[in-house]
Amino acid sequence: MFSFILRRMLSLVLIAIAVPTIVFFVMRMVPADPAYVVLGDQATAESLAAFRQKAGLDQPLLVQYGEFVSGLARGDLGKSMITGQSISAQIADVFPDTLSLALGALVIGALVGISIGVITAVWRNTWIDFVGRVFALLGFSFPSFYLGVLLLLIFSVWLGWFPVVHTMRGDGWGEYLHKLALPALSLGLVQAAYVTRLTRSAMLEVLGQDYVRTAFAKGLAPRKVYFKHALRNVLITVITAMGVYTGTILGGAILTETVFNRPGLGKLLIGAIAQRDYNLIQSGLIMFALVIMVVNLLVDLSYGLLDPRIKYS
Amino acid sequence: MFKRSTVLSAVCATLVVAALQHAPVAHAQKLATEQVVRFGMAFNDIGTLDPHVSVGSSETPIVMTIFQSLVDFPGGEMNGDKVVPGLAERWEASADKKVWNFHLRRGVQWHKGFGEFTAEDVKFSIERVMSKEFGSPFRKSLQNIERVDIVNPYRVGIVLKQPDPTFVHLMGGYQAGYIMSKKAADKNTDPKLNPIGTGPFVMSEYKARESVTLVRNDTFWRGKPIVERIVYQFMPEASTRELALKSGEVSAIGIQAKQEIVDRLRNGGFAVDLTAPANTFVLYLNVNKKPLDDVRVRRALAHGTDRANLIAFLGKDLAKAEYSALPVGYTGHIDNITKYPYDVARAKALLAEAGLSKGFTMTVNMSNSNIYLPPMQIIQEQWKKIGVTVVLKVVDHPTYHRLIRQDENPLVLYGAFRFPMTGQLYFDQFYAGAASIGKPTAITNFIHYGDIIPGIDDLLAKATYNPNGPEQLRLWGEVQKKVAQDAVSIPLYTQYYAMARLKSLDLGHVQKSFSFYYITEKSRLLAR
Repeated sequence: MFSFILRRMLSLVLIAIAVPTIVFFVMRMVPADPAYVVLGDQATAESLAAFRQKAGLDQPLLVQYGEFVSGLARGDLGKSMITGQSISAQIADVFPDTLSLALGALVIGALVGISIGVITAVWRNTWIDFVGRVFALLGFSFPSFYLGVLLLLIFSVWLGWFPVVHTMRGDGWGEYLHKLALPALSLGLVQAAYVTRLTRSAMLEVLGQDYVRTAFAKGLAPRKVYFKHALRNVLITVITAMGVYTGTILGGAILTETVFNRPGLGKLLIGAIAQRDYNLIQSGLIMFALVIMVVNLLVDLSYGLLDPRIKYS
Repeated sequence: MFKRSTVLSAVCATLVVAALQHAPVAHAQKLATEQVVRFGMAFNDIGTLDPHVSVGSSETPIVMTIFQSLVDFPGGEMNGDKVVPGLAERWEASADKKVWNFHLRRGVQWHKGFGEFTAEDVKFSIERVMSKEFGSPFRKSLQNIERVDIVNPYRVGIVLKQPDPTFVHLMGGYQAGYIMSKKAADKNTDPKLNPIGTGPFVMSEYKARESVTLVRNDTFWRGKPIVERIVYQFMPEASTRELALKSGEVSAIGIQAKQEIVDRLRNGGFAVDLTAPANTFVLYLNVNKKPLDDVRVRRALAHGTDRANLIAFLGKDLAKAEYSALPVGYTGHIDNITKYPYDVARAKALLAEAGLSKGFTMTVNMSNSNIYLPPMQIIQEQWKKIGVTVVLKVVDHPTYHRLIRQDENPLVLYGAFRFPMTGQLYFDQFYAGAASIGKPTAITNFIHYGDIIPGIDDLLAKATYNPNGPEQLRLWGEVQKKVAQDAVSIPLYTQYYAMARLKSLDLGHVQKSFSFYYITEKSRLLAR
């Protein structure tokens, strides 16, 4: 187990070097100039040159890369090219909000998706199964940002149960969760559609196994068969997929944060891209990559807990 | 002669009328309990609130609420010909229009205890913008200033290199005209995120990618504002902004200038304001790229452009057609120029004369911005009828700006507003040879007018700083005629800014100009 973790950590380090490098060079291949974004189209050649010099953009590419990497190694993500604020501080400020949104969406996706998936499998070819499959189809068809706008219209504007504007500072826990509800629901329901279909398929496969027929034949209660024996094996497949879906959830978080105007890493990144804030874009993308890597590692490690047959040798 | 009772009645009636005339207006309309105005801004974030650097539309309404200038625009309207006293109580120019004296208002206090506003602050501010080292994007607009003299703490003399009868426009509340505190600068106060001004509201808080909050300046020289706090909430998603307005969580929002959005909000009971001056969109034809070096081809494209169709697409309330190189509303604009009415047959005939009877194809990099791409797609369809195929390579907006400055495009669609609103700056930037793309002095002459083909530099040289106002206007008129004759650009339309608010937000002025609402000491929130 320890050697498995060590090997995965080493691969994490390799990815942690590759991702920033790719991001750095790709950003500089895009033909746009942060100087124009900041100083506008009436800027003189001198002021543009002065900006580029201050931001280090006039240095040779490899020199810029060297400074970037040495900063990363020191844990210094540098300053925003646009506002001059510390990037570490900005990311630290908003990352918990993205994390809470992603976790909320994961929990909703898992609870709703697994529940409906199990129910549709157990009551397959009935109207319950039909409704569940329509739900899954709708979930695939609805983009999360569109669902977000609908939820805002119904629950915020018409019913007034939730705010439209999501400022997060100075809130108590209750208020925080209240503001998290709609965005997490918007993102989570779309994930639930994926999980529903996956759970249903896996459940149907497991229910067709000999040991399940044997369990019924022995007279075990259906609930025990489904939840103690069948579902546990289904969860291995579902958790694997949800680990893969982390990337989708984080991508969806970007849109959800924009629609709900909620602070987060995604909204920070979108703004940075629009402003060509290279430093912030690089750091934001590295954070996303790190999160996905860590989640995948945790998913891999969880197999051993779920399936005693799995050994990390 | 009169009965005593008649006299008494008349006196009483007079007293009642006088009392009513002086009754506070507020008694007629109830104020909201909480005087906090929340705005939904159509942007991700601000870059800087330093008024001598700030170019972003997101920052303009905030900057103009914090800072002031020597002269003000009349309430809600940006009109250089109608400026009123601001931080200067009065001003006068020498007979030769080279020396401008400004008499400063006494007792005006800087925010956050930085003392009284004096002539030192004016000299510091102007020299800051003019400084090459500082690198303000507005430096060129003050290039005619020779020096700033402090006559006494409440009087400055600005000496110009050349006469300029319209100099006072530059000292208005926009870009280079803002006055900053020298003491705050000496104490290294960060003007980016802690700006110190003299305006009705004081910078209070900035949350990155979230909001800016201003609080009331209780000692504002025009009077204590009624509004206590302004929160500029950054909300880049248009649907969310509109929902926030409908739920009443924000008092006003920026909206996309589209007719259906304007109509929907008006029908929904919201006030919608359309303001100008705003961006004028022009197609600049790059004579460095064949076949646009042929004037017949350029005229053909002009004849092939249907402005009425474009305006119908944009919205009848939201755009007005432009024909002249200097937009309507700018000092010096004329209408009597060569116009190229929409005429497909004429366009085809001109192309045939130029040896292009089968038309031609050109590839154009185009911004994906929703104020650039849709109208360009309309023009793309219009030009198909005359045999011109435009292949659009769509890129994002910052990339577009870079590519057009690398001389990549045969034609450039560009929307711009220039201040001060006179011919000088506009022609200097878009039509002067020195401003041609690729030169060290390049600005935004995408045509290469005056560089590759003869332009209007001789006329501009005579007009620039001409102390004879009528002669200057006549020369600017000649410039517009020549540009139209050469058909080096196709002015299309000016598109208004659009914004919407709750009717309970009483601005205290009629918003005719600027890209978004601004709050003054007279603004207030009424009870809903």
